[in-house]
Amino acid sequence: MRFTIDRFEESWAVLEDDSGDSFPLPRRLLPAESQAGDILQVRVLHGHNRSLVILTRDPGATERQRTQAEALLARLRTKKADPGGDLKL
Amino acid sequence: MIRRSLGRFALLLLVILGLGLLWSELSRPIDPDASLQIIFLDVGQGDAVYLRSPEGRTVLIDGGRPTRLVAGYLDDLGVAQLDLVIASHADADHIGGLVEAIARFRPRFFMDNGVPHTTQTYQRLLESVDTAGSQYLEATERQLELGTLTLQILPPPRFNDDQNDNSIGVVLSYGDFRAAFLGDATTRTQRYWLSHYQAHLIDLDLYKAAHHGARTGDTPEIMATLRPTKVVISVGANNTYGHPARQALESYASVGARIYRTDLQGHVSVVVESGGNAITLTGAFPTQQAPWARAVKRLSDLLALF
Repeated sequence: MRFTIDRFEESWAVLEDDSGDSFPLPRRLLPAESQAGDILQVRVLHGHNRSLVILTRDPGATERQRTQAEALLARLRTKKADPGGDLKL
Repeated sequence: MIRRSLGRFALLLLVILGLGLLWSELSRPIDPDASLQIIFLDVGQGDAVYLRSPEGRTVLIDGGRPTRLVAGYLDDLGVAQLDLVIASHADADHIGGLVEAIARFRPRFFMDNGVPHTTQTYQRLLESVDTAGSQYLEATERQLELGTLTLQILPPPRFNDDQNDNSIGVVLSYGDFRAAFLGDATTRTQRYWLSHYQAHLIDLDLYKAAHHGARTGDTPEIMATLRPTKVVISVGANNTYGHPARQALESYASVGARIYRTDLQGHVSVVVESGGNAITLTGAFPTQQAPWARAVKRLSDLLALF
């Protein structure tokens, strides 16, 4: 399982899961160096009376996802070239 | 005696004339289809603004977070196709609903801030634009004309890769009427725009509160330049983040702006007639308004001034 940090709002982080659903989590629960856009790997250790959730920043997965998004954006830019300047739509 | 009678007659004539003019004004129904429509859709915590020019050109600025809500509203409004979709920036509370809206209403043109995000929502948005075949437009300083409606694009400053800092600003002009939609722009982004494009941003008739009224956005200093007559805050009821912040509300109050809120009033619709006369309706989409409703609305607008 993994979460993506969509954004920060005040003292909250808004996380997105793989299905695209999002939820807020107190910012202080994230790794200290977390930034918007980071992908966090989620590991859960279950015990009898408690469970431990470990969130780990994954720079490699973040970079791969960013590269994929940039490629999609580049595809849109080249598919139909923007004529630029003022336009009548 | 004769002079006094003549004076009373003249006064009576003036009163009758005044009442006649008032009645003719009140009994003239508004025709939304012949006017500019600006609808702040109630999407909970997020932004979505629908624009329709008198010529029927349609624009959607942002789509809120819920995946199907905005597309449903567009159905209710009888929209067949969108001409332009603008994603002010890539946070999910602005683009979540655009994926479905783009798939369904296949906009001819699409613009975003050009700052890629790593979320699944952003990826689905771009895939949806690709499938719809929309022409991608760069968010540069440019004017887009849609019939008699003009949108001045204020480009993201790109002093970093932060989504809020890189919101797209949109200033709408229709005759003398002017409205601004600045996404989730932060104070420093607003200052950047004011230092480069101030002429577009002064003395606004209508203003969408930046970032749902967060304390990182609107300030009394910024509002003193924009001087909006009306401010609409698109915000969710009892949201986790405390929006709108007291500081933002005070900044709107400092310039005497009338405040509308989607969390308290639902959809906020502004109908602008060709002469620049703007009527604001809350909790509903604009329809041809009955004269009595118009009279009540005018009266309540008037009383609100006091």
